[in-house]
Amino acid sequence: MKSAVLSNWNIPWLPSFALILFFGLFTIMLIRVFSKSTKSLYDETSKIPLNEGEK
Amino acid sequence: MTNDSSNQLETFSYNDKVVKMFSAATLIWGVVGMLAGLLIATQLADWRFNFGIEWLTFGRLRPLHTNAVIFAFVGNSIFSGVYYSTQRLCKARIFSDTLSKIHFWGWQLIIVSAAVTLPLGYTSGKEYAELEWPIDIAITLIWVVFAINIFGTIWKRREKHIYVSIWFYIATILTVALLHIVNSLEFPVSFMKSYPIFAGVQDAMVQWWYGHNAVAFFLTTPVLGLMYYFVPKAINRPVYSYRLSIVHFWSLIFIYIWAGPHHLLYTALPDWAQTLGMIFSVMLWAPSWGGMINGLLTLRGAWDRVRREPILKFFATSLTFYGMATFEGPLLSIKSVSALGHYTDWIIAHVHAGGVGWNYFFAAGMMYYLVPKLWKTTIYSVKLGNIQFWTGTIGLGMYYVAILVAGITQGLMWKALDGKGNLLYPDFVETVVRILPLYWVRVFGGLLIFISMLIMFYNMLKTIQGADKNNQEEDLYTAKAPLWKTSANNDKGHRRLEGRTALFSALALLAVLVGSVIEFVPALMSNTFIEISDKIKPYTPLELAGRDIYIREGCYTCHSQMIRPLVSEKLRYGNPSQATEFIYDRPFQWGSRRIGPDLAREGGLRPNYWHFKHMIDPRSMTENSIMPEYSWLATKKTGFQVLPKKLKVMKALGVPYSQDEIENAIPLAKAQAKEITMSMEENGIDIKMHDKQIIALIAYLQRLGTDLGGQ
Repeated sequence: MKSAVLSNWNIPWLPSFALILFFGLFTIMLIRVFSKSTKSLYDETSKIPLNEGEK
Repeated sequence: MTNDSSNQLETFSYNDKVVKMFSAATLIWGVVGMLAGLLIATQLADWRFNFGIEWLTFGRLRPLHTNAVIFAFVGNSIFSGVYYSTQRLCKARIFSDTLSKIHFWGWQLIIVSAAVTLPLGYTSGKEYAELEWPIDIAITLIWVVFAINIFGTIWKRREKHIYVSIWFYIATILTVALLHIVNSLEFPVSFMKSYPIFAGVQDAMVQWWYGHNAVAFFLTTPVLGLMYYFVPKAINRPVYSYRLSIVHFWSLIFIYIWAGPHHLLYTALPDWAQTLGMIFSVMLWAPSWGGMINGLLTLRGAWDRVRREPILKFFATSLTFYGMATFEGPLLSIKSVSALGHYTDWIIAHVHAGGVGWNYFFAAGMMYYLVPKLWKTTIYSVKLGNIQFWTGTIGLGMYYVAILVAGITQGLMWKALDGKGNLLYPDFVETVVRILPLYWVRVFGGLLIFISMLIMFYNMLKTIQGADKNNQEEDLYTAKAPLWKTSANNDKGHRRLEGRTALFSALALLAVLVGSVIEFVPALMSNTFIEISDKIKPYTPLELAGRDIYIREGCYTCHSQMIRPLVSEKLRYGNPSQATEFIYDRPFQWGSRRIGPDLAREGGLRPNYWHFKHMIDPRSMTENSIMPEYSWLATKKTGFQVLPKKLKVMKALGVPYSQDEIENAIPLAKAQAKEITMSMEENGIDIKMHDKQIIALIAYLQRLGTDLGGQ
């Protein structure tokens, strides 16, 4: 039974769905991260290593 | 720590003592690990450098070299950098000084245990995970200590946002724990012997999921985290693109975990898993190069300093090698390229471009940055730093080019056919002899790399000795109190996520788990759909004893047991290996390189006496062989007494041994040993030899690949 199910595992839309999901999430991340509104915040964050506290 | 509520400033100090300790350990283990590498490189060029001493043979020292450079040298350098940077990025002292000490001494104890047990032959026989179960447990415990210390520091941080370096550390801590625990699931037989719970194809899948991601999450992600901290610090300007680092992080950790099966292309692993591994490996090009470009562009406008300063010189070269290795890795993962490159020295060249070029050079740059700062002094000699850099770079260049050429030569010679379709080089040793001059070039290149490490050791030692011993007090720092912890969080999207450690960690783990689960679940169920031939029988007690000797001697470091479905392999070794043939192999012994020929169908090819003589004096049977002599196998006795226990453990793991076989394991083994020894009586082998380890090993070798009818 288990063997038959695994051998006949054939859902044609699944690979396309996975591909779209992957690239969809990736694109959303790109848009959010590179949106202009976040520039100043990320510029500020990128300077964290340069300030380790006042001696 | 004091609190000044009027201006909301807090005074605190960093625990740099632990950073100093890990830095010192980095320098010591760097020398040890590379010395071991130099010795085994010499052993390949001339077998006499095995010295006829069992604990100095290539098969036992190769795991020592890999463990020493990966977990001791690079491991200590990572801990040193992580402890230094995490405290400063969080503007908080490390969570617990006591845990830091436990972490340091525990890790050193683990390394010493490895350095003792591996040459003695205590090994689980799985590459980069050779350490036996008590040490595996110790690694887990110490890793938990490390995790508590880092997460505790993040928890008590004064800096609201978690800088990108720490994301990489979080991904490292979580993923290494996952990889180590799953790959170390084993059933103890005795204090220093165990069998893995996975077998055959499943074990291979789990092992290379671990093996590849040990490279990814031990040698890459933490070093990338360090890169995002130390390169901006060294040059005193922010990273080129913080946004790119976010994309780099998520895409890298998501994609990396899928790539493991590229180590098993054309093997008996299911095709779908091989294809997934290949595709995701190729996809890795993008995030890897994104990270490299981000690092190199951070150095923009300061290339004049790169020319002068050893720190930046090492960082720039390290990033360049990272780019090179992450270009070559995906290239080697393409099936048609793998058909040529796999099992050859090309892989060794690739690994050293990453291990030496990326990891050693980055660690060196970091040491040049850290040691003077930690000991509050200046570097002893910048000139020596530059000499170290050029010695190491030239050494690596020689090593890489020689071994790349050797690897491609091997691959081409193995595949070469004449006009009639026969192998042009049917004698495997021909392909070994051809590349021996290149092995000598490697020795020389390796010697230069080792000398460069010695120069760093000396330079750092003199720097530390030159420091003012009366000026080693901890500095006090002030930073704003973490009032953001009690105020409303108005951040949105990824910004909000960056301030939430638990949620961030959960999502990072999820990103890693997606690939793992999708590849794992079907693989773990593979026994339900692999067509298991009833011709495949469990090993006899004596063969099992012989197999354990094969594992102990590290035979898998030179011989594969996997015939790929390629014309040249079928002609040379026989029918391609099938998944069903390995169902009782715990651990699997497919190997990853062929310094000697594949042994998957060795059984029955040659008489027992040939193997006996070959083990004692390989050159008497195969002229020009570079195999070490294993004379002690003819004097040491086979451990018959432990066989019933071994069979019992195997049965508990699912191997169908009968109660009768378990109870009679000793007489069965002795009877088979006598039969093998008697077959060699006419060659002058005394029957008294039957209880020696060499007979058990012959029994195992003669069994290999015979279940399905041999060649």
